[in-house]
Amino acid sequence: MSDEHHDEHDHNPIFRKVFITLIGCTVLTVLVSFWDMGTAMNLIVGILIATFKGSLVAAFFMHLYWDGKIDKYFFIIALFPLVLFCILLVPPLFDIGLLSPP
Amino acid sequence: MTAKFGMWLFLGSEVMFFSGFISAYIVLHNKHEGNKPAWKHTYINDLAANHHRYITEDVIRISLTDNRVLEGEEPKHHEAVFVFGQKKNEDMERLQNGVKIHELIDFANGEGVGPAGDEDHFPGVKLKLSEVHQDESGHGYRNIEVIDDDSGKDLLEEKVGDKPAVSLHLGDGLVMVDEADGKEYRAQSNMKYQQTGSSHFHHGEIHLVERSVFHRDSRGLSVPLAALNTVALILSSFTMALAISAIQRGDQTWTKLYLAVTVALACVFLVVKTIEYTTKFNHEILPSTNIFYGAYFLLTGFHGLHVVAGIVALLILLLLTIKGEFNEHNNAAIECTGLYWHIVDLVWIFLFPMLYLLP
Repeated sequence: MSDEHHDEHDHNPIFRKVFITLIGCTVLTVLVSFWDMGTAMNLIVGILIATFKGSLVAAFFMHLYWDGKIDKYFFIIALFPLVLFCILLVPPLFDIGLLSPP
Repeated sequence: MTAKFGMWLFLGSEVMFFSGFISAYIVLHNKHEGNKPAWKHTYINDLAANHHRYITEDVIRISLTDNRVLEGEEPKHHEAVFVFGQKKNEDMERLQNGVKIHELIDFANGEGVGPAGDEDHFPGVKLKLSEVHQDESGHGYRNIEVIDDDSGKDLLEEKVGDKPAVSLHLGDGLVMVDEADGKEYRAQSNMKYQQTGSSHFHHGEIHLVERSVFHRDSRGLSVPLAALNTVALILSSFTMALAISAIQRGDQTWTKLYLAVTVALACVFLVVKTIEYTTKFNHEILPSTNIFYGAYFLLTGFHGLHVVAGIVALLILLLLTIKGEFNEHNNAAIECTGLYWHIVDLVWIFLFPMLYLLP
């Protein structure tokens, strides 16, 4: 399937490290939620940690880190609507004043 | 390559599907909290000089500084934590001028004092929290007065020299529960100060925002169960990745084992989700209950359907692997299903903090 031939067996130790990091990030997400920084900041921190976790899943579990360029293009195309929706989120967040400066 | 292209195209539409839902949820969540009956909390104090930041939950931490001391003595500081929700309805009074008294707290006997019980009480005064009618702009006002037991006067308005007799400080980030209707109010951090003549005392305002059903009801969800589900899905993504590695090595035994574990973990996710749903239904909480639960059931329901579809696909793969259909040269189906399963995991990674942890 991949454009480049490689020994997939070598990936297992990396998968284990990624798994432990993901569990650690889940614990961090729960811990951070106890710290009330305001809805907007909690939302941003929650999304940042989730994005980091998602990137690990995409890069390693979904093999994008090792796969050829064509797979990365596919992934970027798949991510485009997500980025678009994130941009669309900015005006309503600002309009209601949650991110407005004190 | 064709199979993978098709799968990526499908995953693109999946990402679009769920990002639409999640974006709509975030907008609803924030807009709902923004649509306050924007209560304004007004009082006179020296907030600028003595502003304390307190992050409290369902309680209000009040500091009072008694400036009525002999010359040369330091002002006395008193601090108390009040749980407003503990007061009973019959304690409320309605005055003839339309001012509704929500609380009449006696500092001397510790009435309304929170569970800590070791607060420094302020003898001889009562704290009166009152609500007045909304003004033309639709804003309501809540006023705090510190009533002297002997004179019956508001000590915040009294002066000792150039200072008010009593200064009052409220914690930023405080949460108040309105006993009358059970609504919660959360203070926004953007305080406004107004200089009053040459005095260093300020008119402070805290804008209290009504807390939305999103805040109230998300606390009714079980974070431990959701965290367990998060771990189950991450673990299943891990075993799925190992299954793909195994079949690419041509190791059918480990492929079968990893696929079976992935299916089992997916079933754990569904069982936990069923427990969560059953608990809600038993409490007569349905998607129609309010906008939060509508969004909750919609998001987790569609995600749950994707998990069910994933389990069916994984079971088919497991059966075909047992039949010996896959090897190191023919494994596109397992790899593509793996991509799908990772996306199901990825969506949950975003849903978990959005639904269960966002304040």
